[in-house]
Amino acid sequence: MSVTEHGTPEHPTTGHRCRGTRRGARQVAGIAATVAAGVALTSGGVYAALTAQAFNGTAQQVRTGTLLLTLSPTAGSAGFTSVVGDLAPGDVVNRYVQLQNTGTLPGQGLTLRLADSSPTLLTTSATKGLQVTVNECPVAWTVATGTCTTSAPGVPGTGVPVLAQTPAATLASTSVAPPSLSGPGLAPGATRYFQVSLTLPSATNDDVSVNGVAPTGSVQGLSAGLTWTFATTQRAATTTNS
Amino acid sequence: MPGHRSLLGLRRPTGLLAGLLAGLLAGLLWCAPGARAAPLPAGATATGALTSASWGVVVTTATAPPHVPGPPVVVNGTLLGAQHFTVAATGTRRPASVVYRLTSGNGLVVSGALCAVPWTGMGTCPGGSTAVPFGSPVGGALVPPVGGARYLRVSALVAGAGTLAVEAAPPATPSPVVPRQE
Repeated sequence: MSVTEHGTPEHPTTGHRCRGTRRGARQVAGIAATVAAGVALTSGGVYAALTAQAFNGTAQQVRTGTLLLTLSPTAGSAGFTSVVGDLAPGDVVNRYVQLQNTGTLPGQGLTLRLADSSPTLLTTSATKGLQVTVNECPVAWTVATGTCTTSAPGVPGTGVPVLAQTPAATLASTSVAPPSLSGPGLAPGATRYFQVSLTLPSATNDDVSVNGVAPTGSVQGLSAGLTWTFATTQRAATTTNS
Repeated sequence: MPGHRSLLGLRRPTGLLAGLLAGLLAGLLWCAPGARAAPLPAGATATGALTSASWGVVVTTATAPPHVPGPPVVVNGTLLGAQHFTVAATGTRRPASVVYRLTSGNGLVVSGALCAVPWTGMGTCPGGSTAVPFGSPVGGALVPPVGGARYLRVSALVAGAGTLAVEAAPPATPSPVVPRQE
């Protein structure tokens, strides 16, 4: 581009003067500058202001609690994992287990539920099927004799009933939480000792086999795969001020 | 001042948008099941197997196992004759008692006797036999042990065709109940 005597730019090929083009460029530049200034003003981090911060020099430690239950046989007992075989009407089989809270949070609302992997009359009939009773001892049961040996006041040798005789069919359909079972809760590190009794009612199972054939609806020769589940929830949530 | 108006006009929508986004995020968090402040649950389980007993006694003409449960055996009409049967336990527990039930159309049964071993060809029982009262509960030696068998000889004066079966009652439970501590 060349410049004329009057100082007006002239188009290099056409030779036309470019006064109008120059004015337009100035206007575009002005608009761009205004827009840039507006964007700069409206973006948050560019205010010309003083700032200050304060923070704790040592990081605050936050640890979540744990709620862990372990179920194990009481010493000397087979617990739940060994087979109960050939249970006949009137038989009572006691198993001794202990439930420990190995977590850091107290548990509350302890419940018990039973599941049968192959349901039969044993766990579906409330009248002919298995009946479950749970007693508790504040210390480990004396398994050999089935007694609760403790000096705790008000605790008989048979322990404290926490679940009155209940059909397994009931336990298989819903979790039970009688107050004496769920009420005490389970503090961290605490252990509860249970005697779980299984029986087949004799009054409703007076089945007479004829020439080796059991009558229809008999509980004879049935099998069950029982899963016992104790469950609890954390203690009530709290708000602390300190 | 035009610039100031422009500034306010831009910041207000930005603030509204941020508020909307924050509200939406909070809603999503609340709706997500895992994000609610639900009480911490814990559980412990143990599994074990259980089998119920069976108790049954079968009377059969078969002399050797297997002795399978089935219908009552047929007792043929005889005249001063004897018939021999095997009485075998088929259950897992020994019945508390059994009833030897003989039904005969028009017969007169003289006697029944149980032997611990098969009767001889001479009709004798080595070691002695035990009389069987038909139609009444009996126990003890008249109940075959689990997996075992006894041998029954039925003598009749005259008997029409009838049937013979053994009814087995549930196993005995110690009284008072002695729980199995396991």
